[in-house]
Amino acid sequence: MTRRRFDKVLIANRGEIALRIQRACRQLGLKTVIVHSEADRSASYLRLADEAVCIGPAAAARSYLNPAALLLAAEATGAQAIHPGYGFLSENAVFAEQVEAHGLTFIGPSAPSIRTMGDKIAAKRTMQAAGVPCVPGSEGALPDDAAAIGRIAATIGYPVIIKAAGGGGGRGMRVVRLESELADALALTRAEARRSFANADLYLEKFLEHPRHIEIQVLCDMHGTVLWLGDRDCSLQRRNQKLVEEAPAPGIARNLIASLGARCTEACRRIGYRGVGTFEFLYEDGAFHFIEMNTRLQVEHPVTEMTGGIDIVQKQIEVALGEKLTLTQADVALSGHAIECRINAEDPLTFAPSAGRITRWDLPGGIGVRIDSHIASGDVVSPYYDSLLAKLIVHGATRAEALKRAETALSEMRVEGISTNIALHRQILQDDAFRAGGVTIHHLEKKLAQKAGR
Amino acid sequence: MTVEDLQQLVRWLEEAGIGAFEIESDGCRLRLTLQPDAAPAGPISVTIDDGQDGGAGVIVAAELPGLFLVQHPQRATPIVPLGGAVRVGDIVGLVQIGPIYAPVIASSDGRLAKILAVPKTLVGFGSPLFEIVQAGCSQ
Repeated sequence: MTRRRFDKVLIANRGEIALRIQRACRQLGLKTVIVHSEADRSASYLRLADEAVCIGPAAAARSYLNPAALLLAAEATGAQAIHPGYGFLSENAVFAEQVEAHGLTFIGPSAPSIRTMGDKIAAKRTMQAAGVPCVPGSEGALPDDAAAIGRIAATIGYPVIIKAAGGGGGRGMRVVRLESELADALALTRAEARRSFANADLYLEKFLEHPRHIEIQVLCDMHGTVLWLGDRDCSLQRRNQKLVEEAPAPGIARNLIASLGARCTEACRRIGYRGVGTFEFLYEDGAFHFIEMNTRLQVEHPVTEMTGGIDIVQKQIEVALGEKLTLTQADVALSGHAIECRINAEDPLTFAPSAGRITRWDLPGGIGVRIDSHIASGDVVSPYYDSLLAKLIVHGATRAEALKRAETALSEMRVEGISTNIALHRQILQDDAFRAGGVTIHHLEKKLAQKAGR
Repeated sequence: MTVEDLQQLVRWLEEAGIGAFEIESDGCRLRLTLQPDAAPAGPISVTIDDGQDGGAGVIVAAELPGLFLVQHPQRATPIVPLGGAVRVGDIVGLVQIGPIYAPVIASSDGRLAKILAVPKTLVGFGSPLFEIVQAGCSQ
């Protein structure tokens, strides 16, 4: 029997995704080390790992975002691979390089792939070369000359959006509706880009007024197999934070999605991509426009797992082990419909994070209901990290069946001791436009504003 | 071990807030001490009061994850015996991370009253390792 590249994985993350990765490792017979901060010391999910080790204080900069602490923990525990999860250091090319430089396996794409896709200008150029549709915009980085930028904006047509090359996730961007607003918006965005992303390059794109957010999940091994596993609709958002995701995207012709998926796989081949990744698009008036590629596991990966029957995290780790995917694109068949509701610890009116001890934690169940959560009754939700408590994922033969299962599941869920957004999810599921399918990324914010009387 | 290796190690340990360390590699041993202002985090200590005799102990905790040692593997005796006198800045134990031996530093004068972690087991940031009591206090 050949020796595997690694048999012990350090999980460099926390919360539900740490537990999700732990489960995938168990499935593959791999030992696990879950690192944690002092704030997470008493978290119940740590008991499920082979080893749990505290790497720093509550502040993420000195724990989950501290490459040195993570590498020392790997050395101390004998872990030979690091899974970064999502967020934190998952899309940090320098960290990926450091991990590999120390003879460990980074469970993710290569550092050059992360770097290329992290630079939005380079990413867009790569996508255009692969035939992936992009939003009309500037050719590469904007020049310094304001008049030249003005001409570019006029050619594209207002409204336009200025974006920082190093930005993403809704940060480092500004909409400009009138030529007179352009100069100030450029100055502000450039200053923000220099400060937040250490990269002052900006680019300009046509601003789409009513788009949906559609994405394509890919999976690639190191032997030339490149697959797309399905599409997701993540348009239900508040302040660029996704709240409800579903698969497949309702109301879009499957041949259009299949064509998009094929172009995404072609892009992966061109950049020699490995592991899992997600291509994000805006969809408006029947056309897709590439926004960015996330070179990591996504929070919402379970809806693709539920419709495709493929354990994405397990496949990601198998690929990192150097194994050849035995699947072909023909094996990827989608069945039914899945919906994910992100259950957050937050005030239902102000959306401020809600910290404290959970005194009641009753979860739903039944056919087609899955909960991905690290929480147990009695756990303390700390104020230091994101507020995601659980992902409720439902699956049905049809979208209508999935919606019904989601309603029933949410009605069974009881959380006490802290505030949650369960009531908001129940309202969303009763919303006529959402039930019809195909709402835009602005839909939820508009509904919330109406409700607040603004 | 190359100069670049050493530079990399120093960077790691500075970032992790360690003041000094030892390396064993290829039959050689190297000990480096960083300038105090080069180490962002000082020794972690928590004062506890057992409420019985009015005496206060100081807990010395681990600054980073690794194998807790009360004696160097090449020595037959503990770095400081239980009950032994210590001064601020003395090395009282070690945390081993692969080839690296990071010292555990006393943050108070007194005597080493208790060992709070099991030697040769994995400890993490903030794990209590020793209790130091000031001379004259009984625990």
